[in-house]
Amino acid sequence: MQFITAVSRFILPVITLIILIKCILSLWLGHPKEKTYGYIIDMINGERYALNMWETSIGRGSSCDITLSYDNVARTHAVFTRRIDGWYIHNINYVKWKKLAELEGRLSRSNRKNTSSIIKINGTRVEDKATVSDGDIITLGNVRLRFEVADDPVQKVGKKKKKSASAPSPVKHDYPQYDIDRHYEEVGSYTVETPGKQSTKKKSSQPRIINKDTGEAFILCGNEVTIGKGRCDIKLSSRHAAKKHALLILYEDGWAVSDCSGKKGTYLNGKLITSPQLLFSGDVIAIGDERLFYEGGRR
Amino acid sequence: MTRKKKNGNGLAASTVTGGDKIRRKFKYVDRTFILTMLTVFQLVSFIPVVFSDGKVYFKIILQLLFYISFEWFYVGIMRIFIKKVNFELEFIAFFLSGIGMCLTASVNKDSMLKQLITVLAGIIVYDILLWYLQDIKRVMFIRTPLAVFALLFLAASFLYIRMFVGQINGAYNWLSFSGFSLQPSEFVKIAFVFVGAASLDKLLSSKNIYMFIIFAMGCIGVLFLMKDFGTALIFFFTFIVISFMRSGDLRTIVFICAIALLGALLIIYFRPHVAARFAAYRHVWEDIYGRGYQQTRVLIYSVSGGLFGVGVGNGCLRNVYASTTDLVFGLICEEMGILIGVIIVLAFASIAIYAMISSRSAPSTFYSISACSAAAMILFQTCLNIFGITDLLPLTGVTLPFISQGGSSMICTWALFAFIKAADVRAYPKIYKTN
Repeated sequence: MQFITAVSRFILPVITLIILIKCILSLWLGHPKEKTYGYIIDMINGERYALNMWETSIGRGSSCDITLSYDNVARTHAVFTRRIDGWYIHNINYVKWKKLAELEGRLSRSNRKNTSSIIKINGTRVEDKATVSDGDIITLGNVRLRFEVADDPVQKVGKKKKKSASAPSPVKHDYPQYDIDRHYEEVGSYTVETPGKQSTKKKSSQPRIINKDTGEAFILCGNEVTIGKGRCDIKLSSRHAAKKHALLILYEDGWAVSDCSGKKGTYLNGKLITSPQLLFSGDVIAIGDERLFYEGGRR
Repeated sequence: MTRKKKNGNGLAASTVTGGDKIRRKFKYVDRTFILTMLTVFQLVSFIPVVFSDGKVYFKIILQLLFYISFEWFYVGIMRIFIKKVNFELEFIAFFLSGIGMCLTASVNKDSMLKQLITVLAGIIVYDILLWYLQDIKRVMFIRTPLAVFALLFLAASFLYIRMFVGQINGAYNWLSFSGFSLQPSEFVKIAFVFVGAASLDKLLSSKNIYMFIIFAMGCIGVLFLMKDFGTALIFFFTFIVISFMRSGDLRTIVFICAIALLGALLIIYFRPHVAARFAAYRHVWEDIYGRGYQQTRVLIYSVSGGLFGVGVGNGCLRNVYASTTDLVFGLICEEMGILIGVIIVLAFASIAIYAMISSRSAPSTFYSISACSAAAMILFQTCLNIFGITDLLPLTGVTLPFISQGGSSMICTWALFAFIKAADVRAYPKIYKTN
């Protein structure tokens, strides 16, 4: 018995060391590598932010994981979360904004003024939270971001897989404003199409400018489209037009036209414009002797 | 651009870095090897217990064999049915529980069965909690009801103890019904971690931590009324860790600590009897047969054990009151040696570091906060216990996680381990891609 005790006194610390060192090294070092699960692309300057965590906060404040320094973005605007069943975006200021709006009793007006609670996915307003999927265009305030998934987040097994397969996706994929497919290829630029190619119903609902004289149609993409005689997105042949005559800007409420020719002037429905004017479907922009029709409805 | 991206990805996938090699090597431990080591350790350490007093204790042999076979079966079943590969945390818990059981059985042969049952109950609670924690939605759903229930439970049990049970060891913290007793504060620890942690969207959208502060202050207040100062201190420390993790603001934490210090000074000034409880602190050698009895015995005997100990069953500390509960660390140092004692302390510290590492890539801030706060709770409790019995801190009578005899503490520590485990994506191989 004494012999066993004497031996065990030395065996036990050795076994303790082996067990604990092995387990702890595995706990510390065997951790899976950090991955990039997705990307957020700022469509204004093209900057790409990697989503390395399961939950990522986004906003103007420096404490956020992704900092967007735009005035219209709230200090903490949204949180992207990666869950078992996919990606979600959470509207952080929604509850606060709703309370404020209820208090003031002017929900609709606050809605316009306060951009800190505005999140849109492909133009559809997000209230509390919503699912996001690969390629979605997300608007925070009036800053547009594109969301990209880097890899399939979660290995779906058993019941979960069946559920997700049968459940209808809450994300709507009818994009009323933007041609998403084109965004993949040409971000922030316009595309030119001849009227003959315009056949699908989906494309006919997109905002566009039709040059009545030449019959060309320009689908409006991106944030700004320049019109003029020089190196512009929509090129005019009129000799009365300036090199850069007018600018189409995408605002929160839709496309607007603004004049940058100075003396020559731009006319909207026959009236000279002095400040940016919001466009409605059927509006006619007259530049020199060319007339451009705007089609596509206000957002 | 697309082509470049593809090339970049392909290159990254084919290049194996040094970090990858290490990761692959330590991805998981050899389960059979560690289980064999555990079995050898437990068999060797139990030999003096089984063959003590010139007798052979067959019931201890049976209970030990049951425990060892349970360890093997548990790992086997989890491997086959849940496809789990990582059992490191479980192995550490099995190991520490085994040491606790060995020392408990060596002091009192009849208490082994109870300890074994609580270990099994702890493992069941651990696995249920681990299963529940895998879905963040249901976790977030249960927080508020749990907070209300925990506060009510603590308050109700305090009133019950005050009216029907009375003080046990100078505190109102033992809830006993017909021979069965438990510590309500241990179970509230689980709720405390649950309520303190939250996912990032909830943290940012509510932004205030008033509800949590009210809950924490309620818990700590009731614990003060129960005179369970040790647990109150653990709760307060965990509260600071959670507040820091939620806000990331150091100034607030300094402010909270200053307020708490002021409150503590006021309590000592206006309620001298609270301070009187800790009068022996730093003066244990002046009253070695009275107030300093336990601490001085721990200091003397743990040193007399030397590096390798005197062997299980040969120590003197076992005759001192609470040798298997509060003073169990002294018993380990005396009978198994200071070396094992130090390794155990380092193991607790390593688990806290592990919680910090895994919280960086946890699937939600809920897991990060809960893992760190659970690890902090365990670490702080270990410190309070070890420093308390060695007179580095006032003796508050908290248990050493896993090792001290006691059901509530054992179950609670297993549950806290579930929080630490849940932060690691390797805990759910069926859900997350961990390769």
